[in-house]
Amino acid sequence: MTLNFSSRPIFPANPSEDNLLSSLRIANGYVVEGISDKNSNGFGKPRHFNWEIEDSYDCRRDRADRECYHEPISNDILDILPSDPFGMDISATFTAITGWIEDMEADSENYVRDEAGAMKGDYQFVAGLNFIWNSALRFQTEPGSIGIGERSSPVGVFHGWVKDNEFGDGSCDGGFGSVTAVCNVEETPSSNDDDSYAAACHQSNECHEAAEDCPHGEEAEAPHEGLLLSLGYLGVQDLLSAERVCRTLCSAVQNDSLLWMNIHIDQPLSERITDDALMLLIGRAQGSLQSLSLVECSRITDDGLKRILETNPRLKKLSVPGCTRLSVEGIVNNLKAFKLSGAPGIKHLRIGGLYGVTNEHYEELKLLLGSENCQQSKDHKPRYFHCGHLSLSCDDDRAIDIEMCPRCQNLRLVYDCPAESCQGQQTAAQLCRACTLCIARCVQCGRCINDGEYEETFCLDLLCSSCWKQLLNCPERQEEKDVTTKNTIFHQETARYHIHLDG
Amino acid sequence: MASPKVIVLRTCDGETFEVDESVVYVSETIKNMIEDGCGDGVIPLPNVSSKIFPKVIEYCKKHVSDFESLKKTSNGDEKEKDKDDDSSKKGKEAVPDVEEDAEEKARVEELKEWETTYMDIDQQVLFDLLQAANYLNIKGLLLMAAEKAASMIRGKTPEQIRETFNIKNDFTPEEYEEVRRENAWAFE
Repeated sequence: MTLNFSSRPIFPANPSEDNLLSSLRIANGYVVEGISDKNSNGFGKPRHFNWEIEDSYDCRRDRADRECYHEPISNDILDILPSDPFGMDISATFTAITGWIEDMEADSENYVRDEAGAMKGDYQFVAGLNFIWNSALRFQTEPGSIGIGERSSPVGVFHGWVKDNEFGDGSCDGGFGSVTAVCNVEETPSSNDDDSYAAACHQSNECHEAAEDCPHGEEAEAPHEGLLLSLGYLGVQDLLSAERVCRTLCSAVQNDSLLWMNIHIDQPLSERITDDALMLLIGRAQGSLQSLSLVECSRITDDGLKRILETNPRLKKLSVPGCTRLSVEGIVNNLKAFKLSGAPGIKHLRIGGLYGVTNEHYEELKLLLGSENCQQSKDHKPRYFHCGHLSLSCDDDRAIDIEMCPRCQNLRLVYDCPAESCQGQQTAAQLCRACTLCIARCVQCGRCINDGEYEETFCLDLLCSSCWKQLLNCPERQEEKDVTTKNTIFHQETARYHIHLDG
Repeated sequence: MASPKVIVLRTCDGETFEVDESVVYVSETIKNMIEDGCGDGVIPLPNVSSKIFPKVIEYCKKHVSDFESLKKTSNGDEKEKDKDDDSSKKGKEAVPDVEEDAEEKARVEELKEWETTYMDIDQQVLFDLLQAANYLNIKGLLLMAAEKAASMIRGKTPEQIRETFNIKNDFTPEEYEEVRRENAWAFE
């Protein structure tokens, strides 16, 4: 059989009807009897097909005969590509191997109940193979699909039917990962001398070579118990990734309520999380949620917050800066209801960024938080304006983050000044202590920019002259520093400023 | 002063270790056991192997000095409080503070370097260390090791996590589909 299919264009520039007809018939995965194949490079051989497959093609064939082609039947490239360009009689092979796998399943099912340990690997191997095989079969029945035996474009195989992110990022690891794992288990077969195992393993070994190697060259195993201890140090996004790794991790992430006692939702999850998704996550705390931080989660509503408070009586800290669908009235009402339900109540509230806070709201909130008696401004750490201020606002132990701006008397986030010239007095008496509408501040260091020199960035942020010089002089050194939150934020800002510089 | 007491500990595989009491006090678990009166006999450690125990002791030895310097600084704080009351002496205290700061910085720097070398270990040791630190309740070690393990997970896709730790994907297709569906919103 010659393999010069590639020399023949699939989409000829000016197709004659015959050429197009024949290429399309090949694309549909069969050659109609009675129509000669002009190029005679192996595609003209009559083949045996499963009747099912042929039936599904019947309607297409009819269309192919009737219509006049100036364009392919389907716009999808996978439909146009040939399904069996090398004449390997894929369908028959698939049928045979399906039979093998069903036999193997039947055999190993008998063992699984008796011996958990040794046989489990085989059963899972069979389950894994079966999974891959069935998927390939499903894929094969679609016209123009590429069989799993061909390694030429593995990404194409999986991209079609798996929409998952991990597969979609261009690597074939997702699909082949499981094959790799399957192969590794098979490396020490415990009781099978069956030739079919060897043959099937050989086939999956081919896939293994195509995939990346296992790092240690050992059998893939269940995760070490120590790994579970580190889950508590992961953010929500990473916990959800870990959930998808294996059963052990999935069970740990879903069932350990300690992991979900303090939930912090930040970018990129902020824009995606809805009320229902958040309820699902919070449900994992099993009613003992202690602190909830939602930064710029624009899809969370007052109703959603109400449901959260109803089911988590031990909630003490609530931080919702930048959640644009929440209203002050909604928060006040929810906190009232929360207190009435007998819960100890929220002690720390962060609503910086919410508009329309009136004095009445403020007084009511202070009452609900139990903070009307304590000194707000004097005893607490100074708060400095920084580009990441929304996520850091839960750091100090104030009851509520907003206060009355000494200058404009509005209830907003009020910042202290780190500049030395503004120090030396009691914090409350600082002259430039005010909200950002009254006193402009450097977005990096938080210094007040009164009449001093400053630069306006492309994003309309302000930088004082020293931060601006620092930015101009050593942007590379910033990238080399350890990635802490602050530095990451500055790095992101640096990237934005670079656009300004270069653009 | 009597010579420092030596505590005998036996790991799960039968090996015994003799360690100074002050070193072993870094572990809250062992400290509690000693305070409950087990310090005279051999203390059994059923969840710790003889392979990982020396590594744990290495950490404890390094951080025994931490406990002692903490005691010193708490004494120093008391002295400082008295001085603050007498405001005329404030100016004179500025110089020793600066020296102490520089010393402190150097110490912190040295500790960081030591920790980097100490944590240059392979995965198996890291996880054994995590488990041991958890059982022995050594907060600093647990934090350090857990943070390192967490940093190996952060930002990775599930498949990358599997590769890093050589974990088998033992989901059935249906189970995996269910898990995927449940938190699909997070991966859009």
